[in-house]
Amino acid sequence: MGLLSLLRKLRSNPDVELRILLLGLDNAGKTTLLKVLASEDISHITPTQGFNIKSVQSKGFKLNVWDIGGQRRIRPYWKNYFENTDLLIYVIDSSDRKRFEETGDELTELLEEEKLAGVPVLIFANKQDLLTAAKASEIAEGLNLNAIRDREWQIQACSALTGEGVKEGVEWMTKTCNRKK
Amino acid sequence: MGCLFSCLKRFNGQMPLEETAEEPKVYSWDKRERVNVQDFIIDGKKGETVVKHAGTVNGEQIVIQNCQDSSIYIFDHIATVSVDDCINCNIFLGPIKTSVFIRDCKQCRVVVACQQFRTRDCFQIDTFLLCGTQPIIESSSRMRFACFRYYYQQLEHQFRSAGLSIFNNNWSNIHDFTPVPDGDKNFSYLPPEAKVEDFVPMPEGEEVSSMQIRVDSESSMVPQTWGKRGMVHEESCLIVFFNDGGSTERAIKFVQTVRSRKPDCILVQSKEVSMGPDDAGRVFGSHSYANATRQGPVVGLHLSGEGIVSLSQALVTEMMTGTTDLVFVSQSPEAATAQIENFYNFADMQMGI
Repeated sequence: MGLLSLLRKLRSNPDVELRILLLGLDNAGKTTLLKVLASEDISHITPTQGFNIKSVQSKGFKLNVWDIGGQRRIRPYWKNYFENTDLLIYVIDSSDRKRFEETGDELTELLEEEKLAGVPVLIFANKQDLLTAAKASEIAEGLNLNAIRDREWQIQACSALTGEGVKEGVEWMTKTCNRKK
Repeated sequence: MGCLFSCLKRFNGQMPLEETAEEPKVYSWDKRERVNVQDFIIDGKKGETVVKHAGTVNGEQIVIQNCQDSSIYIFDHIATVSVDDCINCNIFLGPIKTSVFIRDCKQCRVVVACQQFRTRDCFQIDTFLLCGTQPIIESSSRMRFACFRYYYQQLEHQFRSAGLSIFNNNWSNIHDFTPVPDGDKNFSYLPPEAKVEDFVPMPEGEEVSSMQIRVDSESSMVPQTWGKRGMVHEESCLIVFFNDGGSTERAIKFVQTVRSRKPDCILVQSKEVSMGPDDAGRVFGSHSYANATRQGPVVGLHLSGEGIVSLSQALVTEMMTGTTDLVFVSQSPEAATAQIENFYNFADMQMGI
């Protein structure tokens, strides 16, 4: 155990920088989540036309989070950001039942990307504060997440608006990356 | 959830389990009061009128889908709205805290105040809009926009509940994700004289008549802005009301007075924004306003019209006589141009637009 905890200390080197990619359909709440991670005000968020980047310090990690706009027209540009990604955060609007299939298709495509092979994925089932939101378990089943066998993954219910569930997601992220780095 | 596989993987020799089995965390949505979700979903209406009164939505979500030839009025503040697969509908949506998303709709008329306005796969939607951020359209065509124009008794309170400012309105600053190369624009502006009631007719009924709905431009809760329709006058003026608790009312009264004295003057745009002392120094080219900015967000008006600078100066002097309130007015038409640019560039940066 002694050796193990020493190893773990070495692993949580504060100089470790992680490149995190934040993707999802338009209106999923990516920018709101980004701002919540950076403890910023979320009252004037405008639809993202290009991308936003923020650096967030968390538990000895420096997280460089890239938030890329999610409109159908600009999704082909997502691939320009794949290189050197340590972790993928995929945000889903849990109340947007009309587009569960579309968001599932986009996620499947991402998981098939060569440049993202083996990259752990954290799926935020966002907007749980809304009345019509589907539960994270329902989404996991609908997207058949249990079929993911080639990487670590987690689905986390959250409301970026109220901040609930975000911390638990970040904890999973740091734990997962701790093991990898 | 999701742990099954990663736990297995760890057993396979990657890392020992260090966390013990925890009770699943209970979130606010797990212990929310049970409501009938169907009360918030307006689905499959054909040739009907649906009215939701103040207090019945109370900041929750609304879903409108699969409606045809119907009129839908939500006279309350709302968390977020999606409007899907509707044809030939009239829709009024009270102040929305986050986004409204209109998809696969055609030939609809909409009045809405929101933080974000988004459309995809729409055709011929006319919108009287207040939008706190830049409205966006994608794969949508023949879209027409005008400034939000509506009043009823509870509207002011609902704007506040939704966190919207009547002065932050980007209704004409549309971003099109799918512009037609070398073709016609997918959006245009309704003429300033377009009447809300010709698009979304006033609802009838006893309960509605007690709301005192008004749709004329003078009564509108939201000041009518010209937006990006194209300038009609050369001379412009920047007037900034510093926060003292009554600045909002005075800004509205100011615009009304200008319009009554010189009806051809227009309010091009307005903005409510927080400024730091340094920002004020840069924007106004003077440090005299540093202290005034500390009292809270300021309201900036961009007015345009012949002789607007001298008229504004005279009016401000008139209105402010006997008070200690501070108002900034451009000193000359020449100075105004740069001041307007500085102020609105600052405001847009501040709000990430």
